[in-house]
Order: sequence, then C-alpha cells, then structure tokens
Amino acid sequence: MSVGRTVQSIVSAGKAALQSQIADTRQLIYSSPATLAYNSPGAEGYGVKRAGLAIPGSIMLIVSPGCCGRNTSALSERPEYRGRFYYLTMDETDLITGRHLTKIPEAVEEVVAFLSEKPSVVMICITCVDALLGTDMERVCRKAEEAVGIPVRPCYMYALTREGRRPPMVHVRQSLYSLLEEKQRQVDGVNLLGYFGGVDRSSEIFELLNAVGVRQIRQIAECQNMEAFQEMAAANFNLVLNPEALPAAEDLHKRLGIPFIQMNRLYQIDKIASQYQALGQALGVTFKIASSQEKAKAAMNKLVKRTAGWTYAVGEVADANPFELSLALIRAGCEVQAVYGTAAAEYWPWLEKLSALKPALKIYDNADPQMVRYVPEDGGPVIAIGEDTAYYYRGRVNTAVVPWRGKTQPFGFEGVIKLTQAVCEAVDRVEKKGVVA
Amino acid sequence: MKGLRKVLTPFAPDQSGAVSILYALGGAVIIVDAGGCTGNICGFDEPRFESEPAAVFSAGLRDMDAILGRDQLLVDKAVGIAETLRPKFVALVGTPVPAVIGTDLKSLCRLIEKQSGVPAFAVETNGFKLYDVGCEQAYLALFKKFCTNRPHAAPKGIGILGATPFDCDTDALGAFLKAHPAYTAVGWTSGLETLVKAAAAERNIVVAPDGLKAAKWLNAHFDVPYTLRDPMAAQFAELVPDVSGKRILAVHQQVALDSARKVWLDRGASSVTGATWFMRLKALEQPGDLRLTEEDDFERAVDAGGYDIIAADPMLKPLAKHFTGQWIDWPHFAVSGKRLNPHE
Repeated sequence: MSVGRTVQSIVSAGKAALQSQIADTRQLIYSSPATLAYNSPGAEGYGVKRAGLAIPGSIMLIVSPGCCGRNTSALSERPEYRGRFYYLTMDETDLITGRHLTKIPEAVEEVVAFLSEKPSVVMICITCVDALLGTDMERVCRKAEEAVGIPVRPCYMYALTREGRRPPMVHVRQSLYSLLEEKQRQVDGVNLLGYFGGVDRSSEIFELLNAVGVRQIRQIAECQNMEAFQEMAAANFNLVLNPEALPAAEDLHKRLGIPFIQMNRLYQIDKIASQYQALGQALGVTFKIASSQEKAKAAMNKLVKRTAGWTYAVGEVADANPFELSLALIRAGCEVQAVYGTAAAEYWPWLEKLSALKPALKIYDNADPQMVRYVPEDGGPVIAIGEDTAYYYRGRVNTAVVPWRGKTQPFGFEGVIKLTQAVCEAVDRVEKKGVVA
Repeated sequence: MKGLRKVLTPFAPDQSGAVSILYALGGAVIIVDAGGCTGNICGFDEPRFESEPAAVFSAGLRDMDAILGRDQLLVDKAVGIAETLRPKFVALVGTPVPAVIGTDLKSLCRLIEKQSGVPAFAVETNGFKLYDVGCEQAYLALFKKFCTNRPHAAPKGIGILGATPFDCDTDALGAFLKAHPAYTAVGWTSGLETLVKAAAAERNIVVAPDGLKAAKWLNAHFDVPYTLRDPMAAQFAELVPDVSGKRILAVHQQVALDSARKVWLDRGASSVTGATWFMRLKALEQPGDLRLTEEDDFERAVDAGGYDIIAADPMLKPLAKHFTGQWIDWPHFAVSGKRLNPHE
C-alpha cells in the first residue's frame, strides 16, 4: 500500500469502490493536524456545538460523559460563545440506569434561572452514548420546554452516524430551522441556507437577486436576535448552497410551504454561469451575469500567467471542494500536482473529468493511516491551497500558502476573483523574500 | 445539581490521560471511537500533536460496527496498521462507545498480537473518568508489558513518573529536565527505552498521584525506590510572595499540593489547605484537606475557609465571588484546558 493514488487508478477502480470504502470505514483514521477538522469538527470550523448556537441568544446544555465536552473550553473562550455552554456530566451509573435523562428538565431550569437574561432557545446536545442507548431526546426536550417555557431542541453530536443518512451536521440544521414559525410570505424574500458563517456579502449573488426584485436576502449568520431569525419564515423561497442543508429545506417546504432551489459553490467559471442561468429559468427571470463573468475570467487569466512555473497542491480543509477547484484550475491552464481529499462517490463526475485531463494527478486521502509518514517530495515552487495542504508543506521556503478558509464563505464569480487575488498575494510574498526566482 | 457545570468546563478525561503517556513511545495508538474523542485528544489535550505528530488513529467506528459488534473489522484494521508501519506496539484506548457495547479490548489485543506479531495491549478507559485514572492505567499496562526482566545494568539515573501536560507546565518541565540531565520523564521523553530507564533507575520520583501505582509496581518487581515530590510545584511555591502568617487554600493535584505546602509552611504560612478534584493519596493527606467534586464544593470551601490567599487555576476564580483576599494563578491544564505560564 503506497501513499496516494493517481486519479486514473481511482476512476479505473470504479465508483462502487469509492462508496464501499467510505460506508464501511475499512481503515483506521489517521489523526494528523491536517485531519483535525474531520475527526473533530468541534475543534475547528463549524461542528455541532457551534452550529447549534447559530440562533442569537441561544444556549447549549451538553449532556454527555466529560470527554465529549472537553474541547468546548476552547470555544467558550471566544466572546460570542462566552456563557453559552453548560454541561450535565454523565457518570457510569447514568449510563446503566439512564437517570441522566430525568435530570435534564431540572438542569435546564437551573441553568435558565442562573442566567440574568432568559435565553431564546436551549439546545440539548447529546453524544454517541445516547445514540447507542436509543434515547428519545425529542420527548425529553418537550418536558424541559414545559418546565422553562422557552423552546428546547435537541442536537445530536453522533460521530457514529457521520456517514449515515442523517449525519449530525444535517440534523443540527433541521433542528434549528424547525424553530421557524409560519409567517406571511414576502414575495421579495429569500433565505440562503447552508453556511453558518454566511455568504460573503461581496458575492455578486446579492446584487443579481436584488436586480430581479429579491431584496430581503436573509442568512442565519446575520440574524441579530430571535425576531430577526423568525423573519426567515417569510421567505418566498430558499436557496440551498450546501447539500447538508437540503433536508432542512425539505422540512421547511413540507411544514411552511417554502420551496427551495439548490446551488453549489463552484470555481469553474462556465459552470457558475450555467448555474445562474438555471436559477433564472426556475425563477422566470434573466440574471445579467456577463460583467461578473468577464471579471472572473480576467482574474483567472491573470492567475494563470502570474503562477506560470508554479504547481498547485489543493486540499480539502478549504472553502472549496478540492476536486472541483482542481478541475477549475487545470481547465484554466494551471499545473495541479496533488489533491488532498477523500475521493467520495458524490465527487465522481469531477474525478472522471480530472482523470481524462490529467490521469497522473495524485490524490491523497488525509485520513489514510499511511499519511503518518507522508512528506511531500521536494520540487519546484508550490502553491498550497487549504489548511491541510499548508500543514504538509509547512516550513518550505518555496511554498505560497493560501489557507482559503474564512468565517464568511466565498461564492460565485466573486469567490473565484478573491481566490485568484489570495493566490497572487501569497506568490508575491514568497517571491519578495527572494526564495523563488 | 450533581454533575451540572455552569462555570467550569469538563476536566481532562481518562482517555486523554492514557494517550499522553503512550504518545511519544513509538507505538500505534488506536483510540476506539468514532472520531470525536480522537479530535478532542489530539486537537486539544495533547500539546505535542502539532510539533511532534505521532501514530495516533481513530478506529473510525460507525453505528453498524457498534450494533453488529464487528470486532473483527477493528482487529483487521489494527493488524493492517501493525504490518504496514511496524510500530513498537499497538495500544487500544477505550472510550464511551466500547464501554457501552462492552467490547473486550484485551481479547482483541491478544488477536492483534497473535496475527501481527507486534506487542499489543489495551488501556480500558471509558471517557467517564478523569485523566489521572487513564495515566495510571497506561503506565501500568506499559510496565507490565515491557518491563518483564530485571535490568542487568547497575541502577542509573532518576525516573520521573506522572509528568504529563495535564499537571506540568511544559516549559517548566523542559527547563527542569535540561537543568537535571540525570532525570528522565517517562512518557514525556521520546522512546520506549525510557520505560526501561525507570525500571533500572537508582530511584523514581512521582510528581503526580497517577504515577504512584507504577512506582509501587517497579519497587515491588525491581526494587526501585521512589519518593513523592513535584519539584516544579515547589519552584512555583517559592515564587509566591508574602505568605508569612497567611492562611492559604491551594487547588491542584495532590503531589503538587504537598510539595507547595511544604515550601509555604517553611516560609511561615499560617496554614495550607489542599483541595483537589482528582485522585487522592492517603499518604499525602492532611487534616482539613478537601475533596472537590461539584462547583458548589469549591464555592463553599472559599466562603467558609476565611483564606488570605487562594492559589488555583484562574478558571475557578468566578466561583470565588465573595473572596476578598489575594488570588494567585496556579494553572492546571487538566482543569481549565489553558496553557498559562504561572511565572508570567
């Protein structure tokens, strides 16, 4: 078993091989700094704990063995989360008797009484232990809700079900949006669902929607309070920008009658244009995208020229799908040498295209146990996109590091432009140091 | 309410303690979890994770593994890694999931060892206990597995047992080891050979209660004497000004408390009450010492004690609302999860 495989060998093995590997987790998962976001979404980025507190004024009671809540102390340090996490620590007797469940309503009451201001929502976060015990947390939450008179909702930090049909990050979105109550529909309202940090307001999507009369564009990240969040129930439709929010959108469709349209974050300029055209057709409007598209093309052309002689290593711990971004770069004329990411079945169309364009492209699975000894080969100057890639190439003077990971999310043509700017700036920094001619 | 935390965050769990002892020894450490526990350990509790990555893996358990009890799959994964990486050992570290489904980790280790030829052992932590229990279990598992013969060489050097990132300030420990080359911190200094050094040491010092059982075992099997003493805690105590005539409440692990107490009493402190959330050793306990379990325990101790000085992790400060005396920060990573330099 060697580290990394060519994209051609992955595609030759067929789509079914990818599916079985992911579903069965036939290998151990290497825990490296590069895979931390996979192993513990709570440790970095948005995991269940952060996501569960997306509603302003909400608090969370983590009901679990002490180990599950341990790294939350890092999160509690951030001003926006201070005083919002509470813990009901289970012991071994709780595990055997399930008595912790009867304590939850009382614990919620005690926490609410402890606070100077009543929270908007109490999220009850439970973990793998309760997944195995088969706890009916919806029922427990209803009891707690009766006790305190404010909404109490469950969120499931079940790492065991990560590759299941309802993984934790899907369920937490369903739980949050279940709080929306029916409202008079606003014809000019839309919700952008999918990103807890929200879409970067500089994205052209806002201007394009405004131009066709959609003026109330709401995102959970921008809601200042519970009332503002409830305004999301007035949307005429939802735009789902991350597949993890799809079941929540389906729920809202069923429950409140809000239809939804799915879009993806892409970096291939022609595909972004096609996506806007499809959205326009669905809404019965025409988006004027020519100017934004031209700017993105110009930025990409500039990038290709600026980074001639450099090769790219593209990682998955970034605000991009590494396979789609690599495809975008290769199609534009950039030299991509490696992709760090799990080649899952849902990425098959991109993998096939990559295989056709660059069969020798190396794909490294960050979680592969072999990666414990992985060191990239020495070569020419490298542009490392993503925090995982940055880790592998750390300390190398001829590497331009572009973490490309932020709280607000890049989207559309503007996302392409910003990425090209970030890469050019990183290359400038390295060249200024004089280590790359 | 018992178990409810409104101010403090959960303390370091047993599985983190176990991994901290095994981390630097060149083995393959397999945390038998779904991934979250591994992330907690590597991404939070293990300071060497960023600078010295080690072969620490998650078993990647999924719901069907737990429901169907697919132990053979775990054995296959572990054998695969043992044959590929040829680590010095394979260690299975327990978490709540195997505890709930009753996985027999010891039996799995026997299978792994038999099939791969690599020594394998289990540390049966469960995520419900505290770090010191995990450290204690890991030490014993290691010594029982690898220190099977009496060393031939004459006793040499001094072993440190109980030195982990949870109790020791890493910089202070590093400085101590540099200044005292005869000392070797077992589990901190890289390599399995450090274990053998503890078995062949002139003596061992135990700097935290979790090292005591291992010290006793080494004493019973190889006649290595030991003492309970934390020189880093003593150094810290020396730096606290104006303790003469003062009533002090100190909160930490018990060996550190004892070492600091001796210094403060020597310097004229009126009294030193030791309080701990963790393992307690009868040998070090003094009348009036306190066992802490809930947040209220600490609040009550502060309110009732009439102390002039409290030396404790700063995370406890909000619980001492009515305290008007002098607060001395004495960081304890196992409590707060914060790495602070007490000398700053």
